[in-house]
Order: sequence, then structure tokens, then C-alpha cells
Amino acid sequence: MATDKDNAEKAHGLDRRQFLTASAGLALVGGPALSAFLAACGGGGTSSGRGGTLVYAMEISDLPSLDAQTSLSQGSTLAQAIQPMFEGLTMYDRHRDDVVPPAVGVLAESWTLSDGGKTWTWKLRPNVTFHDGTPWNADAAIWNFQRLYDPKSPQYFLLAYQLMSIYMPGPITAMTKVDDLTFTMTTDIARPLNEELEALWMVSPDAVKKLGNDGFGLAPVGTGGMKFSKLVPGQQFEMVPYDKYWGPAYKLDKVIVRPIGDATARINALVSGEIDLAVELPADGLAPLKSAGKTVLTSVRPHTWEFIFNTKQPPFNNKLVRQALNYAIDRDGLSNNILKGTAIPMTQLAIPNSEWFDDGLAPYTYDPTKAKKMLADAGFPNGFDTEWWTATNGSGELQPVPMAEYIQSNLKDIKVNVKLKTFEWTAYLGEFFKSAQPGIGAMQISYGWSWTYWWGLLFSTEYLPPKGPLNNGHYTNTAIDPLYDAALGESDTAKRATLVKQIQKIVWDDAPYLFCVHGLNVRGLNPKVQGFINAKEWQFQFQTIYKT
Amino acid sequence: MLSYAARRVVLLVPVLLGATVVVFGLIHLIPGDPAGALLGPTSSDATRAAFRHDLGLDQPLPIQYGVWLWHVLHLDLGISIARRQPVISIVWEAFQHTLLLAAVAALLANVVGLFLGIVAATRQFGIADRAAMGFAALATAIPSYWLGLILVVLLALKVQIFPTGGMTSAIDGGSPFDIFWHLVLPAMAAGAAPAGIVARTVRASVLEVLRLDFVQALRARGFSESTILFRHIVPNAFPTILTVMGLQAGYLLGGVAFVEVVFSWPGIGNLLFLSIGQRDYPVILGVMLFVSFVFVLLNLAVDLMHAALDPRVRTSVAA
Repeated sequence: MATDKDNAEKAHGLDRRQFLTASAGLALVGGPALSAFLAACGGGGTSSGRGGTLVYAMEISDLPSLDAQTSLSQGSTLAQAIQPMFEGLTMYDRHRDDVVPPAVGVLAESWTLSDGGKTWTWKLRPNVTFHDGTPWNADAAIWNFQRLYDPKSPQYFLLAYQLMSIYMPGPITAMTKVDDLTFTMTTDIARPLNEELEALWMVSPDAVKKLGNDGFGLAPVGTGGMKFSKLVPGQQFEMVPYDKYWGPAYKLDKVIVRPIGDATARINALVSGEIDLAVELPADGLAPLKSAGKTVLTSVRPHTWEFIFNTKQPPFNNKLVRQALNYAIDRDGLSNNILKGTAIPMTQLAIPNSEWFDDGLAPYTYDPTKAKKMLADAGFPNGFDTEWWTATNGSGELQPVPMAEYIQSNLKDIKVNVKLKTFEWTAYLGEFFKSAQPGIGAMQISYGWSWTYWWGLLFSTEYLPPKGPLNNGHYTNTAIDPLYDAALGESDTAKRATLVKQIQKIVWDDAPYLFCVHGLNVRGLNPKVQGFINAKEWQFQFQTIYKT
Repeated sequence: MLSYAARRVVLLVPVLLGATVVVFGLIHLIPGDPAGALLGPTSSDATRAAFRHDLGLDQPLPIQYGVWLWHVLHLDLGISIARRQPVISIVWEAFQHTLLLAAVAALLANVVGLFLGIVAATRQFGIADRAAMGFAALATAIPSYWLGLILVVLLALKVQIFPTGGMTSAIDGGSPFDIFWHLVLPAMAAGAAPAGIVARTVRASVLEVLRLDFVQALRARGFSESTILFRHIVPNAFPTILTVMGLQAGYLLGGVAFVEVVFSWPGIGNLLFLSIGQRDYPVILGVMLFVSFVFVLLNLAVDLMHAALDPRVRTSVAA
């Protein structure tokens, strides 16, 4: 993994040290840092190249609506592809690859908090225009949030709200324009909006009014460095640089996005040179890519793959049993034998290099003897039989069936006989939403973790089923609730991270999950693609990319 | 002939109505719901319930069916849940791409099948016969998606002659030649099985005619073998062959689905595959309805041509 990455960096001449220097200090503050960083980057010697047409393959089989505010119906797949055209108040700074990118100000230059963190005053970036020439200002910002939040506004778009609701869990109770470039936003409770709003990208009010919601999806207009130029229905769409972009110019002359849902087809197209860049490549496809001289990059991202124990029912209502099973599985084998290095063992819920990673937390090792002893102590010297459910495919699911079978064989060694029941993804989700029913020992799922409130949705008793679907196994520990509430209301990033680490410590010890692996980003590149920054996040950015 | 045609057209109505019931019922038998598929594992129960209500999915099935049928009768197939575009335009767009692929595959299948069948029949039990029939058996037995993958490995990756997938090149694509270049491999993969079936049918029906007395009589009168074959035997065998060709063309329209997925061909098979994953009911219904409609119409066309070619068919039905 490290070797691929290092080679790739050498290949496209990215000077890592120079890069890190340029981005130092970025984690601390929001808006101003980004422009300073971008300016530094633009002056660098290695980034002087530009031009070229990049063909990027999305991992879906179709071109859905290109509206940024419905794009998350496809996970981050479509958002990644339309990202050059759109920006939010804040976004993850995917120009850096040293740490999990923090959210920084983009269309907001800065913000201040008042009213105990419930009121956010956003100072917007001046001299920004949408691709249709209309200005970005407080009116446009409020219009956008009303489209998502305010059922009484004419532009309210229910589908967008439904699709985005997970990315904006708290209601906005009031919005007020202060001046042309300032507005305030009030929420019911204090929450870290700068990270929660990073996936909400702004669309041109004028264009939506003219085209309607459905028409806008066929000809999207945002503020990003590239603008929409062409759509071939079902086949591809194209973007070209926007010459009045406020930030550093995109280096590519054109980006063409094609939907290629089948992973093997993506690998083949990359090998034959029909496309330049593809992500979400399966472990089995990496060897052909490398032997065809293509670049393969892996990087961590906030992803976890686990079985959620049904903590309501015996035997998994017993913490000792849950811990014992966590000592019984070979996470290295899972990562390297089954997933061929496209995943890393889960040593804690937070991924390495993230602000939540706790150096003091001990991982569950692979120790079947210890596991057996713990099981005996828990009253199961002869093991037990249990039924576990998993999907056969799905978003972020890696290769669920071979992985589950590997785990099954591990657990057989400690006399825990797992009967696996498998479902196609959509059917599985239907079952998953019902939360773990009696008779089900554990249900498999994978999650992407990017926000503080995630810890609440998963572990706070406030979100127990049926209210929250994510705490599938009915895990309850009331010690977490005050920590979560404090974390959500904490505006200081470092202090917030400390609180999250405390939640994680409790969860890690309680072991409501069979913690398995973190899936990695697997990105395949034509070697002619330069300036690619392998961000430790689900998405990467296109701005620095060019082709030789 | 006209009354025969009219009778057949009237019979289409119950057939198509039956198809809508089966299609509608089958789709709602698949577990899982579109709200879950679209809103994802992180959506709340309330959001999903509102989403279902919005689409009328909380109504009882017979009512949903009635509403849907009423709209279909007004040529309104509804709006795609996932894409928010009219189903009719999505399906029509994709159908044209499928039609192109199916037509080229059918042409390939029929030409190759006819040739192999005639060669095999006229050299019964000879080496050519065995080779042709061996090929036909293989072509029929190999799954099209597997053949597609093998063709990609051989002719797009090992020897980079053809593209690995898609209908056009990403950069400056879309010219007729570009589309043809992208068509070759999927058409071969989709056309192989029908080619085998056509070859076997042609062989069997030509052999059947060959055994008839009039062929002996023609030979006795000194006609050349080629005249006997092309002026007398093939035309007599043709009605049966035509039926099989028509059926194969119908199967191709639905059956290129696997090939479309392997080659990322933007046709209805790919659309169906995707829509089932998303439980995008209006699109699934639209595609299935469209395919059954076309299949039935194609059958009708074949039957009518059969009747036109063979007077016995229309008299026996009319009587």
C-alpha cells in the first residue's frame, strides 16, 4: 500500500514535504486558510503543468439528475463526479493528503457563533458568481437553505430534503439576512454546522427558477471552477473550466464523466486506456491494472465494516461474549487474504490520522485461546449456535459474503457456529431498517463516518430503534449521552475530538459490534494523470489534476 | 388474410393486459422498497414513510395497479423515482440503443445461422456438417455474458482492437463508425446463441424438405443441385425458419440485457438491471411493458409474414 502511494507520488512529481509545509496550520482555522493554501499551491514549481481532457468513470450504471442537492441518493459517487461544478459554505479540504481532511470555509469566508452555539453568522466570500452570471450572496444562500428546509417556501424541494436529511439532521429554525454578504442561521440545539453542511452544495436560484427542479438536473449551475457543458443522456456529461471562477483555475481543459457500474468493466476500460481515472476498484482487479502499467493508489477514509450484535438477546447481551468474539477474528487475514490489501484491520472505530484517533486505545488482537477462555468465563465453554445476516453487495460493502465466510471459519475455531443468511442489498436494507429481530445474532453493515453527530445516531440512547435505524443492535449505555451532547455543542475542534474519544473508549470496551475492517479508497489512474492528491476521504478534488 | 390479421390484433389485447398484471405482480413480490434503496441505510423511518406516501406506495396493490394502468392507457408511464424524468423518454432513449444492438446481433445471427445450416444440411454427416453443428451447439450453450467477457479479454485487452465497453468513445465519439466499432463485440456476444439456434433449425427444416419426393423428381429431371436448393428447398423450408428467426429476434430484445451490463451498453437491459437495484418501480414496469409489447408485436409480425408466405396457415385458422 505505502509503496504504491510513494511510487505514484514520485511518478507525478508531487513533493510531499513542500506540500505539507504549504498546508501546515490548516487544521486550526476555516476559510482564510484555504485561500492562503491554494495560493501557495499555485506558486509551486511542480504544479505548473496544465491542460488535457480527463475521462472519469463513476461507479454507477446510469446518469441520474445532476442537481447537487439530490446527488447524495447515490452515496458520494455522483457528488464526487459533479464536485467540480459545486461548492458549499464549507467543504473538506481535499487538497491535502496528510490527515483526514478538515472542513474549511469555501463559499463562506468565515463564521462566528453566538447564542451558546445555536446561531451561526456566516460571512460569505465576495465576488463569487454562479456559472449563469448571477451573484452568490446572502439571498442566494438563504434561498438554497429554504429549498431544503422550509416547506413554506415556493422552492421547497421535498425529494432533496429527503435525500439530504441525513446530512443535515437538525432543523434550521430561523435565517436572517444581515447584509449582502452576511446571514445568520439558528438551529434548535448547538451543533457543528461547519462540518455538517460540507455536503450541502449551492445551486443557482435563477437557474432552478428557469429550468425547474427536473430541468436543472439536466443542466446544473453552481459556483465551482468547472461549469457544465454537455450531456449525452445515459452515457456521459462534460465539464469545462469556468473563466470567472473566484479560486485557482482548474488545470484540465475538460472533464468527461461516464457511468460504468460494473467494477470489472471499469478495470477493463482503465487497462485499455478508454478512461483515465476510476475509483472503488475491487481487490481482484488490481493485478491486471498494475501489469498494464496503471497507477493504483490506496488511502484510508472514514469507513467501518462490522457486524452489529443484537445486544437485546442472549448470548450477545453479555459483554464478555461480545469481547470474546472480537478476540477471535483474524483482521489481518481478512484485510490481506480476502481483500488483498484494499482494507486495513479495524484497531478502533476512528481511522488513523483522523482527529478522533486515540493513541491510547488498545486494539482487539487475534487471540483464539483468550477468546475461548472468555467464552468459558461467560458460561459458554462449548460455544453456541447463532444466525447472522449480511447483504451480498451494496454501497461500501466490499465483498460481504467471502468476508462473512472467513469470519464464520474464524468463529468455528472457538466453537461458535454461525449460520449465514444473505440478501441482495435493497432487500437487505429493508430487513436492516426493522432493526435486529429476535433470532438474529448479528447484522452486517458498513458506515461512512464524517460527522460528530454520527456518534449520537449510532450510540446515544436518544436514537434507539425505532427512532434511529442505525443503532440496529439496540446498544444502550447511558454514560454516552452526556458526552455526546457535550461534543455536539462544543465549537472547539480539539475539545470536541477529546469528547468523541471518550465515547469511542466506552463503545470499544462494550463491543456492541464485531469490529472488522476499514475499507480503503482504491483509485486507478492512467499514468498521464498528474497532480492527483490522494485524499484520505471518500472524495478527491479535480482542481490540481492535469494530463501530460 | 385481412380477417386473419384483424383477429390476431384483437387477441393482443388480453395478452397485453395479462402481461401488465404479471409484470406488476412480480415486481411487488421482490422484497425491499424504493425508499430504502434511494434514501440509504442512514435515513429515518419517518423520512422513508413520507417518501413512500409521496409516491403512492402506501396504497393497497390493486389500487396502485389500477392507477398505474389508467395512466398507461393514457400513454403516461409515470416519473422515474430515481431520475425524476418521465419514464417514457428514459425507456424510449434506452430502447433505441437496445434495438440497434439487437438488430445488428440478429442480422449477424441470421446470416451466420443460415449459412451454417444450409452448409450442414447439404453435407449431412460430413465434416462440414459436424463442424457447423459443433459450433452451433457451443454457441447456443455458452452464456452470453461469459462470451462477452472472453471477447473483451481477447479482442479489447490482449489485442487492443475493439473498445471494452460503452456505445461511443468518451472523447469526440458518436460518429457512425465509432458506434459500429463499439457494436462489434457486444453484437458477437449477443448474436452467438441465436446463430446456433437458427443454424440448427435451418439444417433440420432443409433436411426435412430434402427428403420429400418432389426433390427426387427435380433431380430426376436434371436440375442442378444449386437450383434445387435455392429455388425449391430453401423457399419451402423458409416459413419454419422465419418463425424461429422472429422468436430469436424477440428474445434478443430482452436477452441482450446481460451483454448490455457486461459492455456498459446504455440500453434497456442495463436500465432494467439498475432500476431493479433501486426498486424504481415505474421504470421497471415501463421497461417490462415495453419489452413484452415489442415481443408480442414481433410475434404478430412473424405470424402475419408466415401466413403471407404459406397459404395453409391462413386457411387453417380462418376455417
